[in-house]
Amino acid sequence: MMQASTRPWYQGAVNFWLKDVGSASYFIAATITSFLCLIATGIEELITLMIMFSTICMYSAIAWQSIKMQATEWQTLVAGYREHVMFQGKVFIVFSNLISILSIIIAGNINLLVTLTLANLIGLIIWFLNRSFSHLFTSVCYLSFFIATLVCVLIEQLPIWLIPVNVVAYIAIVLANKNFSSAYKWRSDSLTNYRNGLQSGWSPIPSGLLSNYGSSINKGLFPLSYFVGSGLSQYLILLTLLCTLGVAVNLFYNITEHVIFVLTLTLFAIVSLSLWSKVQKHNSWELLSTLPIYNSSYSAKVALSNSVLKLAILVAMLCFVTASALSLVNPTFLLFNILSYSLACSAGVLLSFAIGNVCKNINLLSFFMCISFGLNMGLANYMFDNGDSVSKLTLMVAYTLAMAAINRFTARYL
Amino acid sequence: MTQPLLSYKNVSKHYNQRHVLNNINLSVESGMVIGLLGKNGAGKTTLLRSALGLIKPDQGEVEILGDLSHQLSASNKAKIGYVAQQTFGYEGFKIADALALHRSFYPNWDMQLETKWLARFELNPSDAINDLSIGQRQTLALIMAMAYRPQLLILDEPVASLDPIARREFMSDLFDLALDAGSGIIFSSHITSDIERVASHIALLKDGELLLLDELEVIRDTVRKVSFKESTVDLSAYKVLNQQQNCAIIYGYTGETIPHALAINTLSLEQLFVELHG
Repeated sequence: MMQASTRPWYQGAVNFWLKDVGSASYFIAATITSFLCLIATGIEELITLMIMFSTICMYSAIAWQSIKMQATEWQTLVAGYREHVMFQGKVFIVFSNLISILSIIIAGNINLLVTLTLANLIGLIIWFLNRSFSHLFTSVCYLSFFIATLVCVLIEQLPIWLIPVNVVAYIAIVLANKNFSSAYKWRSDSLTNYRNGLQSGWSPIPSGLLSNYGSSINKGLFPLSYFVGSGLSQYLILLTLLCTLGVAVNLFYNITEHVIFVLTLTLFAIVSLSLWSKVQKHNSWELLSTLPIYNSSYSAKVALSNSVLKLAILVAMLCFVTASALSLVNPTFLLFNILSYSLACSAGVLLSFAIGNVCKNINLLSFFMCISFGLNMGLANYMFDNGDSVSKLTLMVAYTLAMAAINRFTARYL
Repeated sequence: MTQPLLSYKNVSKHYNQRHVLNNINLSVESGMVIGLLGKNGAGKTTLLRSALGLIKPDQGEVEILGDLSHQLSASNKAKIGYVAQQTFGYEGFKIADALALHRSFYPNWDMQLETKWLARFELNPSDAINDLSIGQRQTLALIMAMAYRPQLLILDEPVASLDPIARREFMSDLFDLALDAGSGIIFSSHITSDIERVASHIALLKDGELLLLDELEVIRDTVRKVSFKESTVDLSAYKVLNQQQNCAIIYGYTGETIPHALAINTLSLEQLFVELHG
């Protein structure tokens, strides 16, 4: 007869959620942003984004654990194993929601409750889809993040009637999942999906897409492209297409600030993804340093630092061209704003990779990546709005040069 | 008659119109150690996974400890030990933490056995699982599968990554322990010497079909390679496992003379495996 288990619900939580790199990247981001919600109660735009981001991140962490469940035979064979892990996830979801509700109460804005229910709906979709289809993780997560960001940026206030609609949608999802899906069923390809995610980084783009056009970019950005994979050129091409689309739409509707925000957000999301992929492939250094093009492992590190610099220059050019094209129909933004903004984006890229050079501990890296993400976003958007003087431009030049030097200097710690 | 611990009844499984398992009938009873032998892709892993309900057969059924494999009760799960080819599930844990959590799921966990085997196979409880070699991870998985003394052990190439000394020790300990407790074991391996050392029965899979299933001694005594010049040699009294132009592998030989045969040779398990796949 089975004895009653005396296992506390939190046993193994640190290992499952913080020491599994895939889960940690979402879990840490969700936890930090949840607490930041309490600080940002006075700024409506920011708190909307943070509630959305923290909730979806937490659901993404659970979705990641769901993939892990599908990949391990133990969840089928060890009675209670899956329930134990998923219960921890549910506790974290409740905890994250409670903090959000608390921050909504402090902010005194009922409309934020709509954002929270919508974030939960998007999160549920991510989680429930990934309970059955592990290969969908990347596409679903990033599409959801993108949609959520657009909703926050483009819609000033979500209507209150969305709350009951969202609740009905939860019930529909749960019922549909209960009756029509095979949740958590062990699948032979799930382990491959999980490991691919860890080894090569998740890329929301299908591997073959645009690959024919990216080979020269990847060649130019070698050895960074060696670590990030073909996704690097795909990201850059897609970013260019996104900018072109934004500029085209801006000719008819004035959405300059929205385009700049989405461009900056996508850029730093891409930088984080690239950095993540690079970190996951850290073991591949051995192969790189044996290539006959490098005299020593140090020269390979210098080459990597140079390729990051090239990426930063490309980013600066792209941002400059896009911002200039946008300002054609919105002449309130001066050349100083555009230059300062481009340099801020470029410096952000260099700072992010410098952090990647120094941080060996994956949890520390996740933490600093979150911080630098926020810093870079804030600085770039601030410069676009307020970087209208020579002094600010000079500061940005100095800051960018300093970041380039730091990136080069920290390459030795790779 | 005692109920088998595990029984496959007419089990078939297809993947992309290919027979991975074809009408398999097989039973594991207490005290049996079945060594499952077959080339890569022969269906060994699918066979073992279908026992655990991880894969549902297209035809037939698999019963395990009286339950259908895809409807295993929690109490029966606690009586089954399984080691996969690649163990996965405790990434990010230290050995001690993983064992602490794992043992909390099993009321009959043998702490002494855990401690003894950790020491014997030089696993440091404070080591991170991510830093272990493949062999060490496999050793840990074996400890996790054995420390609650399961009634049925299902092992998918359990010791392939271990060094020869650890392999020998583990095989010996594992099977002694399991058999002392009256357990049944089915394990797959490519290492024929391991199978010969510990298995009581051999199951030979080829292209999803169970070509041969019998006691090891019977196979040793009755499987022969018959060489001949003309294909007119009459082998109808035997089960022919494989026939080529000038030779055949037969099963059921009991020492009689075979007319027109040039030579009748015994085969080691490895030779038999090679001949059948040659």
